[in-house]
Amino acid sequence: MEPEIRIEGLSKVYAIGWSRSGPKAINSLSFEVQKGQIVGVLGGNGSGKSTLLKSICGLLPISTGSILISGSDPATAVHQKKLGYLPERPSFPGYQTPRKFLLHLGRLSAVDGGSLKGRVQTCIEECGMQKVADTRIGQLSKGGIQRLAMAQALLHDPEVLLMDEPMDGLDPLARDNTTAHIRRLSDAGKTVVFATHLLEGLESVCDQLLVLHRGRSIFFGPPQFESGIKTWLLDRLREGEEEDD
Amino acid sequence: MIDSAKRILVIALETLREIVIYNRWFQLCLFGLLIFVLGCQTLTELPLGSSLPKLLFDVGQGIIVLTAGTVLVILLAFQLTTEIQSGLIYSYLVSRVSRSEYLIGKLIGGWVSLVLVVLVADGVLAAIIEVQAFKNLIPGGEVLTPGIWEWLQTFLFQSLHLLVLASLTLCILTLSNSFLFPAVTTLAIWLAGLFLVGVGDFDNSATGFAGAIVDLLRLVLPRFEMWSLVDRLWYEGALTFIELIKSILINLIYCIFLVGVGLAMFKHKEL
Repeated sequence: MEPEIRIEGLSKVYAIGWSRSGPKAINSLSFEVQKGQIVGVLGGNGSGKSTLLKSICGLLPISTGSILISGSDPATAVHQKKLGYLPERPSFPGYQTPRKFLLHLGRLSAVDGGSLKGRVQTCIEECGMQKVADTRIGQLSKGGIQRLAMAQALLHDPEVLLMDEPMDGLDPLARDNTTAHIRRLSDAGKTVVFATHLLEGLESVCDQLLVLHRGRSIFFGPPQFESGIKTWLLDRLREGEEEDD
Repeated sequence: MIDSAKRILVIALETLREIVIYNRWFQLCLFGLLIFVLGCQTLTELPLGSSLPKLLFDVGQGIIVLTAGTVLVILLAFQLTTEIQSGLIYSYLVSRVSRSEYLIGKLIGGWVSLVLVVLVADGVLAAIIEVQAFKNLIPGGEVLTPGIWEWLQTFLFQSLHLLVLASLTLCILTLSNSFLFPAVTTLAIWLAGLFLVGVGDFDNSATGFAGAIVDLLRLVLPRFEMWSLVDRLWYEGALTFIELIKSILINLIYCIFLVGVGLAMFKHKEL
């Protein structure tokens, strides 16, 4: 069966000025994600989590290797509206209301004009934004902004959802709602890859975990840990440090 | 192609709506510009005789072009750098619009908002000049004022001028992530193009070392030829069809070149 996401030998070198030889943010990364799976990407600051997600959704050109989404390159997948992306620090125009902003994005996503209002309403309900749908974005809380970020990522009904720190800054209840939402998306056949620093409840949400250390994969597999995820992760990161030394 | 044009149009309209309805700074500048243009009436107190309408026209054009151009550069530089740095652009780029569509849409939206301001300001200025002529405040007989065709061409060239300036801003914007650098650099290049003698005028021949420098600047700087054009429209009337097409094409070639370089640089910078 064709994996939904296939990454082979992916490396990303950031350009510094006119030079193409900057620091290596991702180094020879390979893994596959099957349709409907949830993959959590873990790692320290600067480990390459955000770079990986941006590369998968075509925001950053890759240096070497390949990325295939349902057998197509990211540019084609983006063109076919297969990808949804929730950025790390979502920012939206404060003068708009969530509903109007989603309608605006819907027009750009070529969501059918007749069903656009209905689709926007569905996204608002799915993301629990009914009460704030017509409030100005500038007045929304951090949780409200995060829910809007989720709604805009889901608006065009993508098959693959890439989320950068979707639970960052949320209170425990909102975090719980977000993980439940991710689970529901997976049950509906969506493939979800999300980067996070939060370890709590990760084992119950993720089908696979990818641990990155300085752009390299130091673990990819199902989350089954005897000593608890925190101890396990710290051990892996220490091992990574020792290998680098 | 049609889908791409539609997406550019949607972004341009939203940008226009945002600037005109919600941007308080823009509204303040529009108000200030109208006050300045209305302020031209104070010149009628001077003993200028039949040269008053021309002075009103010159001063008014100067105020309109300088204010609208400065506001356009600052507005575009601020909007684009803010949206890139805040990450708002990511919501657009994934599965919605291409980088080029987004940037061209923003450029057109910003440009049209200033063109509307110029249209209003030109209308006010034309009314002031006509009222002064009608009231026969100028001694010495009949007063010549620009006709509708001259005013239309003035407005057209002001709009083209702003379009070249907007394209230049987009191009310079690729050199830095901050707001200040592109704004200051673009304004400096623009003012050099406007005020350095002979730079914007291909008909003047230059000699010696200074001439060589001016020739070099002619090649580098976009053509901002408003001053000589204002005189031409006043004294000789509207441009002929051929002259008009030639000037429009030159300005559009500059725009296409500057936007093309800007988009290529944005791609290189991995925006």
